[in-house]
Amino acid sequence: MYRYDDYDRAMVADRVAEFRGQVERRISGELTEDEFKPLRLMNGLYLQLHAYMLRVAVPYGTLNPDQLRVLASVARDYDRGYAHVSTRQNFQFNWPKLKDVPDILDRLADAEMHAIQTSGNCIRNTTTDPFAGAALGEVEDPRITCEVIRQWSTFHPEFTFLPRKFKIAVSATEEDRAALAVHDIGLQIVRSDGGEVGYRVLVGGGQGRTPHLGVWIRDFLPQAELLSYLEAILRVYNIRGRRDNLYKARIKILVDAMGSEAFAEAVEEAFVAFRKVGSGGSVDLPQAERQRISTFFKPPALPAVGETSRNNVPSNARFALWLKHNTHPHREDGYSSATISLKAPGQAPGDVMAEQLDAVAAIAEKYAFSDVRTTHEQNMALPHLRTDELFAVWEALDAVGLGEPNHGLISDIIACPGLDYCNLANTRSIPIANRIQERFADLERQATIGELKIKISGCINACGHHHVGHIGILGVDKKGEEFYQITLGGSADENASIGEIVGRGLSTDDVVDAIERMVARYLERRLSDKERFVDVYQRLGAEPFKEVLYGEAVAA
Amino acid sequence: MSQTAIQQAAVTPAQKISTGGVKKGRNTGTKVITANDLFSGAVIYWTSERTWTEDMAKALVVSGDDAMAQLTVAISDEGRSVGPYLMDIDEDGSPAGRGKLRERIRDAGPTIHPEFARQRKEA
Amino acid sequence: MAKLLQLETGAVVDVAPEADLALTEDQDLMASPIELEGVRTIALHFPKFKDGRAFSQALILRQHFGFSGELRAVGNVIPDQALYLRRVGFDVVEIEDTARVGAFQDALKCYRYAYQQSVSGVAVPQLRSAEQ
Repeated sequence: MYRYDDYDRAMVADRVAEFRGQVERRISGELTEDEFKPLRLMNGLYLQLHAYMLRVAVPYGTLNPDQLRVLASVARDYDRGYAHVSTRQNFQFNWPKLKDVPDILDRLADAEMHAIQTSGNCIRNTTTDPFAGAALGEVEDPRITCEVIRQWSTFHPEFTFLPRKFKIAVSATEEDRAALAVHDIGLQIVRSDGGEVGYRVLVGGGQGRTPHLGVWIRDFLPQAELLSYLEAILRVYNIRGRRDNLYKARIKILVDAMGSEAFAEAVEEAFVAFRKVGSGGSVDLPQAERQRISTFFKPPALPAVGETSRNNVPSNARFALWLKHNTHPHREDGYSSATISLKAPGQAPGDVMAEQLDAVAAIAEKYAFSDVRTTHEQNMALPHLRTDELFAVWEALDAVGLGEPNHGLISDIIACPGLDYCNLANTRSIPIANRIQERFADLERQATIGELKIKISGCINACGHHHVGHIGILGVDKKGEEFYQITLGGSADENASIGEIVGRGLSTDDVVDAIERMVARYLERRLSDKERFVDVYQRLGAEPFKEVLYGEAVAA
Repeated sequence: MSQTAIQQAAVTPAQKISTGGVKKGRNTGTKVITANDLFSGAVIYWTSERTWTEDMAKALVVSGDDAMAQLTVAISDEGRSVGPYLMDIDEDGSPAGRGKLRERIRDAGPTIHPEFARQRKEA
Repeated sequence: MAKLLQLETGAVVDVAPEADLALTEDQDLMASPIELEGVRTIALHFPKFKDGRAFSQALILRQHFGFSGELRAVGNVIPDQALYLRRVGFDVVEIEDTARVGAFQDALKCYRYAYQQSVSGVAVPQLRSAEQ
């Protein structure tokens, strides 16, 4: 993984010192809350319902064991013993005290971590495939590009006061595990016909109250020209994006208003202008610098293990399910990647205890080449594992409650923090996730149902990604009571789609029953167990599901 | 509310106010001033002693112009609080109106973590 | 009485004569170029500090229009933006609340380095390349 040099260390240290001063000035009364708020937000410090919340950046979801232990120590010493993995692959702490935050940031800085640009109208943490560097069929490790973007976007003088927040995702495989289509910019690393590595560029995706799938505006961008092309997009957005209405300020609205062709033309014009500026003005990285960054992402030395047998494992039903659902093919024979589910029954999706973080650190050192990831689905992952050690890994995970074999299944739910924590929420999300998990607790039943992605948001800001859930659940407030609206058929992968709203909202008590009826309807209608819930929806449309949504008499 | 007060309310709509988060409401009925503690972020309520308490039962109940006047004083107390606003309460002093669930959760803590419920000394 | 802070040196001077040209934040310099013949000072406006359009305007004037006169930031600017202003090519910032001059001067010293090549200073990638 990338390691800081003196420049990177100085950058973070300067930021922490600056923030320490800002906190002192707020406490002494020198800064008003109005002045302090944007400053704390730029350091990832929110004020939620019950306490402050600190969002720590995990650049492109990559962590080493030392960093995990530091996160665990922060959870223990400054929080309530747990932390939370967010859909931007970041970590959140729910209970820090204001005066402790500079000390927390110091501790994080010692482990090469920070909270820079985890909030505010700036370029946020760049996300990617949790199996980056390990995935089969990858053109190159997307984290090289992510790190290039991380440095370029950190304290960018032109793009720190954008109309609205800005999110970039990078993927390097045909399968999209980074949800490119719902990002402000999606970069797919591709190889040209001539074999040159570059990018296919998408803009204008996003969720929120007006969901949009992004549009591809460039089929091939040479690798060396990445930053000037990104600057061109951001400049068009910074100048022309709307600033009069918070809900119309994202780039998706601008792309939609201009039309994607006109937008692409404006970007090309700005891009050509950049390239005319030449040396001194061009932001493109010197080749040596890209080379320097890429050496940090050399794959770990994986000893050849030759032909190993996945069958050479004890018979254990739970492990068998984990093997089936939570493991993923690795580019090297004899190796696998695995998802660590943070969706055990009764747990808030994405929450992880300090002891669990310590355990993952130890497991990663022993079995996983010290490489740990967070995923945008609020889970963690171990990208490099020997296939013949999977049972030992699973046993160690399961011993600390991290062996739940439910990745991609109905209980692997994304849920925003909702009204249990969030100042903007209309309804709770986590209790709905827990009720669904409880109803479908039987793992064999979950396995029979197969892949089914449920995503829950407690308000229209869509932090729980409900628009791209196979089943999406959106909490709405009706005169102080919680109701939940269902969307069907959303997807965030390479065949991305926005879910369709089906009918009026359901009460808290009804929503789990409605999901159970729709699942039963799916099982009746599917042609084989290879046909997933979302496939049946695409084949038959919403009608068969609408029929059972409210529990009316089922037509024969 | 007296008959005249009701008639007045019908003529001039009550003042538009922030009711927490991004929500807006109108200044009608009985209210309590609430905010978050600057240092801990904890939920706090404004008292008759012009100070803050974590115990909703000790909050000062206000309404009408008095509510706005007290809110102005509370807002000026930036040294200890963040974002004071008026929340609705009913006759027995519990959260009411559209923000009922939100205010119950703010008072009690996350519903998914009963172990984090605020410990109060018995009065 | 407002003061002008020189972003390169941190020195403070009284407000000089009006700028030759004042641009509003909604002037789209990508779409419509402007006549700069004889213009020595341009004021760029921040209606709110969160409105960052003038950062792009400054860079376009410097990089694409080759403007070499004085760029002045006016309006609602906060101290924490001082370094960003300098790096996109502003020379001075007009400070209405003179009590904040010290905060602006401190902010100019907050960061030792920058990752982005811009019109002012040497960026980290270039520093690294020079060391190799």
